[in-house]
Amino acid sequence: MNIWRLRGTLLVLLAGLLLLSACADGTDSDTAGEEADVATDDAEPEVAAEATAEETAAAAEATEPAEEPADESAEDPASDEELTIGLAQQGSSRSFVVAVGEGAQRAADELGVELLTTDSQDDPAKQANDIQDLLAQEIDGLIVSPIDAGIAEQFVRDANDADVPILAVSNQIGPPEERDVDDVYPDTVALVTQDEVAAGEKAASIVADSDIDTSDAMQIAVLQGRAGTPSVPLRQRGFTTGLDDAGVSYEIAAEQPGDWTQEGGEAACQNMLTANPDTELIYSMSDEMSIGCARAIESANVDVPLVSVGGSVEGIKLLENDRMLGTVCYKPEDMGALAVEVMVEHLRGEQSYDAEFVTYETPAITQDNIDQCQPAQW
Amino acid sequence: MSTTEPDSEATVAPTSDGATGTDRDVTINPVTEDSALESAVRRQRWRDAFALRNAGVIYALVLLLIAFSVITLQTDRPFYLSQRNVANLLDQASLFTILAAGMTVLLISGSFDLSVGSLTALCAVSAAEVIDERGFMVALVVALAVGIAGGLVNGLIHWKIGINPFIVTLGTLTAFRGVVLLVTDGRTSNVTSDSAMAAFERFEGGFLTTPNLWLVGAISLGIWAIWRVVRRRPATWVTAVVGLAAIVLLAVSFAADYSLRLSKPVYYMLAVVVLTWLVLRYTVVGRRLYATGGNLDAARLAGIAVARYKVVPFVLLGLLAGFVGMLFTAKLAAVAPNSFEGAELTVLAAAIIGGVALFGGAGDVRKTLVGGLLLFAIANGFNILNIGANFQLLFEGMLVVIAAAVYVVAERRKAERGT
Repeated sequence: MNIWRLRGTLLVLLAGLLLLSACADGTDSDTAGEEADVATDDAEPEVAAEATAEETAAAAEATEPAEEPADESAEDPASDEELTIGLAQQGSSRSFVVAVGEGAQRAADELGVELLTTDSQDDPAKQANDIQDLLAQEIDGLIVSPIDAGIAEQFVRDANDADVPILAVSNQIGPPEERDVDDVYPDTVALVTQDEVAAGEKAASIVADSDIDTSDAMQIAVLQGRAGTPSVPLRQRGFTTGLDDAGVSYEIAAEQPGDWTQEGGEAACQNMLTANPDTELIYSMSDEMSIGCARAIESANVDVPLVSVGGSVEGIKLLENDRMLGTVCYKPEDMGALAVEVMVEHLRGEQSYDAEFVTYETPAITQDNIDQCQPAQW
Repeated sequence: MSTTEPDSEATVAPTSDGATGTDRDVTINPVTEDSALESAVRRQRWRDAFALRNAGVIYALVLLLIAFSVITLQTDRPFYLSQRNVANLLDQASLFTILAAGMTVLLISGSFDLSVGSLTALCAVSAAEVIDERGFMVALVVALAVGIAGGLVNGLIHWKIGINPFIVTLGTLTAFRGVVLLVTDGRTSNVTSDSAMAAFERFEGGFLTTPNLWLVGAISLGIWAIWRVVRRRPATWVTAVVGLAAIVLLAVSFAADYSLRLSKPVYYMLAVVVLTWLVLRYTVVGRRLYATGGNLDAARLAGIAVARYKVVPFVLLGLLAGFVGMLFTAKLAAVAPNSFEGAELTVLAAAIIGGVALFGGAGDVRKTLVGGLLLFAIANGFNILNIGANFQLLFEGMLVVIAAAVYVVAERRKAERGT
């Protein structure tokens, strides 16, 4: 009887929704612009770009951020040509990934380029569709944050077919079992990411610089991420290399995967502390796992220092509350910004990149220099 | 929309004799009692076809396409209905819609499958694991065989032991994913051999361009109008309008070219949908399937081998999962262990939006196709408009609920009228 009325309601509803989404589009970019304005002042000095692997190695020694790229980003905020860059994001359910996108948007606003962002909801197949959509919009450059390193190889072929330069941020392209992280996938502009080995070394430097007695074979338990994640062996190698270089005498007493989660970290630390009562230090591969691990340490009522990698909001809180010795500060916003800067430099011909490994400084953070990682970027 | 308004008003009185009828009826000049009745029935069929409960999903898609097009025209975004974007949209929807066609058959039979995403991933990794050493044909056979086996497992457990398909496939959803992890050791399996890549190119790669769609539309409308005249149906406004539209389209086709450069999966999708529709609509098998899903006991008493109609749809969906798995492997030359996670929900959503009943006995695979296109049009449109995915999920979710509500409310009203 009232089908017609119902149909009208449906139409109004659909139209309203579409209008809403159209408005949301507008508000989104507005707020992004505001955020960028706020962020501009404190962000610049932290950015540090090393174009080549050698420079990276050299920079690993230096504790202060390199200066030169800072003036670069300050140089020309707008150029005549309007560049459009696509960013194929992983998803929006993890703060690290979201922060990469925010940093990229900030840099795009500063440099006067348009950034089109897609969200693949952590589904590699949808990421393929997103990239198809981005390429259809005739972008000048494509930045991808690959969900899956193997599937991303196809994206390189797609982008090259469309004659669009492609750059990977955060995660590498090409299976990590077959390819070192600094062996950047051919036919891409660059890989912009953390140097995981350097981060492990930084974590080791926290131990070496602390007042823990490191004279005789310190018993170390390692709380690893999920087996198979590429960063796990790299953070491990960096850590042991760092300890060796600093002349610390140690022994890896236990290694357990905490699967990157709080619960996993808590369970693994409980097990390791039970099995190795004389553990003297725990090296946790992420702040998230450290939260659980700190709980395990406290409930076991032992005094074991905890060193971590991350620099997240939760990690810094642990540090402030004296539940952790130190962590390594990752800066996803800076990384996203750096990716856009590299792409824009490449597109404007200011500097030509060919499969470069680009990274940024990840400082070691203890209570003494906690301000270097505040506000935490994720 | 305006042409359909009178129809829904008129459905109030299905037996109306023209006095309460629509504009259209005025021109009809019944010669005998029989033909009067016939034309009344025909009118009713037309009204039903355009009623919201039957065509709602088509209205929704048209509305969405118009809205996206208008928005893209008013902003500086590339035009939504550009040939390239429409081709992309069809390509993106193709794999899921093939699965949704199989799911439609299964839902009509009164069953349900949550494991289809895991099974597709299992087929894909199985193919990817063997293809480098054994070649394309072996990989294809393996993918299809794994799919059939998975479908058989689901169907036989459901039918022989009598467990609700929801529970069976809730279990196999996890179990199949477990096998994927066992096979791949949690890593992405990559296809590297040149021969496999070449075979992929022939199987999935490349494009086939359609003829000018304006011309195709003109010819099909023209044939339809001529057919109506030849069959000596009384001339109606419909025939005239359609004939005129055919001429207009013909004129347009000289001026503008709208041919789509479609990827091969799109043609596979269209073939699967058309074939499924023909079987469901015109064969005994199809009618028995509807009967089995609609009322199992009645179907059994009518002498239908119901076991067959309960198990085979699972196998068919498994077979399609194998085919889609192979297409996916060919498309990306790599299969991640978490591929197709959550795909079952998208596939089910496409079918439900298309009006397939969750408890069997009703459904039209053509509308499932539209449902699939609708879902992917949203994702694609949000990308083109550069809107965040959070809105998109909200939108998709609301669409499923609205669609279900429309069907349920329309059915209830129909039932009330009937009594």
